[in-house]
Amino acid sequence: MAKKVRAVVTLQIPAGKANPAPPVGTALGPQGINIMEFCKAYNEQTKAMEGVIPARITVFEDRSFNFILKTPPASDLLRRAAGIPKGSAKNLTQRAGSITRAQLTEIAKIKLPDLNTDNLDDAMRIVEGSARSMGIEVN
Amino acid sequence: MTPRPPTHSASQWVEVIVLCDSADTELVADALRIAGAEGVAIEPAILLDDDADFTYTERTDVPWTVRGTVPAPFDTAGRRALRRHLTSLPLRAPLGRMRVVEVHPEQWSEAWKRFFGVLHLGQRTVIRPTWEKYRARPDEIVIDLDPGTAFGTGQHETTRLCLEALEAVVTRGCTVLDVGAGSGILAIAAAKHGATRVRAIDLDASTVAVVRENAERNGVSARITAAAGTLGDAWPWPRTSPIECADVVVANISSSAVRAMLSDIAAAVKPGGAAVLSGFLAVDAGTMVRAARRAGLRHVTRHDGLEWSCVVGRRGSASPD
Repeated sequence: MAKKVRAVVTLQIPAGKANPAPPVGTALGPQGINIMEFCKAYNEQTKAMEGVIPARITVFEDRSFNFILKTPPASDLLRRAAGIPKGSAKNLTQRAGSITRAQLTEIAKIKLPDLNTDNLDDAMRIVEGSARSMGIEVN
Repeated sequence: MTPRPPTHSASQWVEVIVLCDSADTELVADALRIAGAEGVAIEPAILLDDDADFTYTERTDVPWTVRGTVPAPFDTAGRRALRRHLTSLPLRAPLGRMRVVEVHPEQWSEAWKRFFGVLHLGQRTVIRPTWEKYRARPDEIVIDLDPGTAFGTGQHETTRLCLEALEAVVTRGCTVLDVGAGSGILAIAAAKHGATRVRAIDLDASTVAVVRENAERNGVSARITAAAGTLGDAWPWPRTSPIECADVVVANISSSAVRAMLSDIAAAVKPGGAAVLSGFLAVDAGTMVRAARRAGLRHVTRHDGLEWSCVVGRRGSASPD
């Protein structure tokens, strides 16, 4: 089929730390795109950021590509707001931590551009649902 | 006797692959991160419309793929904990099978280069990645270009068709306008074929730096001006003044974009000059030829590749021809 887009992939990687090792190498290598160029551009654009910053990469038929940065995963924002270290979600049914309503609002505002809504209240409900599933309470 | 080098180096990574509903990718990705994945790749199921555009539609009716790369070994206890975690998540739809595969060690920073070599396009245009050596024939132009973040590596048929057309229409000393310049490959080709002034515009502002860098690398930066914008915007286009028009206007974008801009493109061509249009499929070339004629272009010809097409038209001379 004639087309200009070859593949689309979102990489969730730590800001400023892209390197050719997996998952960047495994995700982009088979597409034949310039991995060093991606790493350089991603690290430059995310150098002042923290945590996981997803990049949505579009690979074109001629193996050129472009990418846009997306908002951090809600889980990452929630865990950081609640002060829960990465990898400590072993007891999902138990209370893992808590955040304030102001923190919830802040996270919902950050996530708004990537959610299927323009309404902040809806966004807060979505993020609160994610928090609940992670054992994080909103006080 | 020196020991033989190992024939197989153990993998440092395993990849955990989970198929899930498009609404569940974030939760699954998070579970993989908790299981130790240092990064996660989410591959949406996409529908590529046959409209020859740069767009796609995300499908939500089929599973998406989430891959997490975890440092090896990912032992049984770790896998079991991940499975337990995944089954405890409030997911919208049941998960597909979880697979764990060993990642074959590879020199990732170099491996992608195998997809690129010296490309011979048209009669005398050569695209050379900077890590390749090439001795050019006297009549050839060589464009040094590494693939990157802008369309135009030479591997797409539309680029090849445009490069072939430029060989025929660019003459020494002429002026060129490249609309939708991408990597600048067509602008650089025009400059190397002898154009003295080339303007390259693209809606995507990030490509401007790419064009400049590529022009610099090819020693033609003095003749190429790059800017973000489109016709009538980057350079407010004085349709009445032929001084600002170009001898050759090339636009390799998409059928909808080219059709929408066709009258502006035709107006930007100097009397007697040529428009080179591409980015559309061969099945749409007939429509494009008729649209080009309606926009005032003459001697309109189409040049079909396997799937894509390029249409070349001339603007009538100032004096009756």
